[in-house]
Amino acid sequence: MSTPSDAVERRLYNALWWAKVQSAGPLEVAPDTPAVARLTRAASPDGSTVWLVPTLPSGAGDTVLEELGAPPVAVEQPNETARVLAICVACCWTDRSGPAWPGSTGTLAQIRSVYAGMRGRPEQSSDLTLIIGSLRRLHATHWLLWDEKAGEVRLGPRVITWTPADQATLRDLCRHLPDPPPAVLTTPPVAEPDPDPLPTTEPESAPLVTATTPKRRTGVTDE
Amino acid sequence: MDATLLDAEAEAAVLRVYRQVFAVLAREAGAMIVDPELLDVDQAILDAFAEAGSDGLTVEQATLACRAYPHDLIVRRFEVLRQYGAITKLVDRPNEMRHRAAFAPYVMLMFLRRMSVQGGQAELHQLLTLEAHSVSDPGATEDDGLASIERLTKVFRLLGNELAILVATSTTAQLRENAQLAWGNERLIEQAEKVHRIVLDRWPPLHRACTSLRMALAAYADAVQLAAGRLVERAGTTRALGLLPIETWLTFARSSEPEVLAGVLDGLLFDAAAPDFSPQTLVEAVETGRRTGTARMAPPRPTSESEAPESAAATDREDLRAEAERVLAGRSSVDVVEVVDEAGDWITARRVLAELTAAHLHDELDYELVWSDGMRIDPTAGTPWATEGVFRRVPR
Repeated sequence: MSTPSDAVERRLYNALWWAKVQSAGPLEVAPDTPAVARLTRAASPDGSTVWLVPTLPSGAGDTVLEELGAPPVAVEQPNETARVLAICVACCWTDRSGPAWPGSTGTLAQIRSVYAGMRGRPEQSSDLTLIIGSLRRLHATHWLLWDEKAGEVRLGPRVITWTPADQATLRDLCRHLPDPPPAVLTTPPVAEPDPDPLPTTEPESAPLVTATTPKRRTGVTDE
Repeated sequence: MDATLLDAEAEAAVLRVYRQVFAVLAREAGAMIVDPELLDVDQAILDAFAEAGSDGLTVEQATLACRAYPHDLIVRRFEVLRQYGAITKLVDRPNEMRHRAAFAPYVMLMFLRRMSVQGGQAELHQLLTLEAHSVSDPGATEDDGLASIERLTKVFRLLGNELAILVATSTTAQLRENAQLAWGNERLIEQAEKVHRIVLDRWPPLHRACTSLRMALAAYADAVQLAAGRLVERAGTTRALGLLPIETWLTFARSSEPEVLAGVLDGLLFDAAAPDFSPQTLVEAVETGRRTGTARMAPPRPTSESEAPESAAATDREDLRAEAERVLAGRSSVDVVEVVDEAGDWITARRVLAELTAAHLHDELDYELVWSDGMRIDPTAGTPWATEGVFRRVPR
């Protein structure tokens, strides 16, 4: 099973995926992609795709930059963007007893309402520009998945790297933010997958169950 | 991956030591070797001569014996060694092809190799042991002891000075490169103190020289402390003294060939460059956002104790009215001369006049001051000369 050539192949395979992730950030792949070392798999709610997110050892993140005195990756309007991300966490992380990923779908209306509530004033016309801009920035860096056409947002795959301590901080933060109004989704929620008993559902749901043991899963799909 | 950043650093450090060692012998600046590999070539040439025996070698034979190195490199080094007399002709005559090597260069090479390991610290250790030997020798004289102490004083002063200056003036990176100066200092100081003790016991009159040695040692120890302090301070919370400064990484990343860069990054997983939003950042951002969002604070107002105090102008007007009424004393008009005489001296009178004039000029007060042509002259009055005029109410 683990012949030398296998190990080499494994290494090359890992290196290829690492290179992809290092240049593009988290990647969305088909669920039957075999596991890659040290890339966390974040299955999307309907199980149709899986995100590969690089997992860094604790203490190896952006804090090192600060220690070295190096500037972090610049982002436009960092505070505004961070605020919108916090609001999206409040809107999309409905079940706060569990992890933030995958969360549920939030709407632009919710975000606008929480934003105005946080600001403690009625909504202003400039708010929407700020919110949309921030959402786009966060989408581009995989912090959020923002569907501009539908006006809907979900938490991005990066949130899977939040540690339990991070989640506790965020839970506290969500408690301080105003509660979002109930979401009115234009698209059917992804939580109810198509109940059509198509034969394709069978191999697709199987990988979802064994998402953590991808090596065996390749065998399953081969059948 | 044969040339990593660390290798390059180590190479540079070795070269620096060589340069320092030979600085006293160099004829002019810039003529020193720039590649430690050349020393390997030299050694190979000298090794070849050692193998050759008493017949010596020709240039061709030498290059053949050293075929591991490029031909022209060998020839060049051969030439250099010959110019410096490290290799000489077997017999000094024209057309002599055979050469012999002197043994001194080889000793020097051995010495250099040792120097390069710890920047001369090992040699200093041995030197100190030798000094201890020589001063404890029964045949040693007081002069020997003095010379020994003075040598040590100078060595430690140089060491201490170099380090202290580095601590005071250089960047952390330079300091780290020269950290060899700070290594093993405890044993060095111990050994020096041993020599110092022997000398002081044997020749008490040398206490003055011994004092300067003690001072040099203390200064060196202080400099080491300072250097260590600076390095630790710079290391931050990670305490990783080996953490290279960021400039080094940037330079390396920019100037490296793809292969070298890939070699270093092999087996390293990192995230794509992306802005980081840690939960703490989110909390801070929301906090500040909330603060600016709260209702605007009213500018500070004085607390209203009673009714609002009148403005200065109003107070002024009322003062003027009171003064005018006092002068008029119920009458509708009053003579200026009378007012002046009433005031007594001129100092008071002119103040009163000034106020009457002000009342006359004030928009809201209905008084006027009208001057006439006459003048009253009375030497007995407080103000002998007074222009006649009238201050009166103006009917509205």
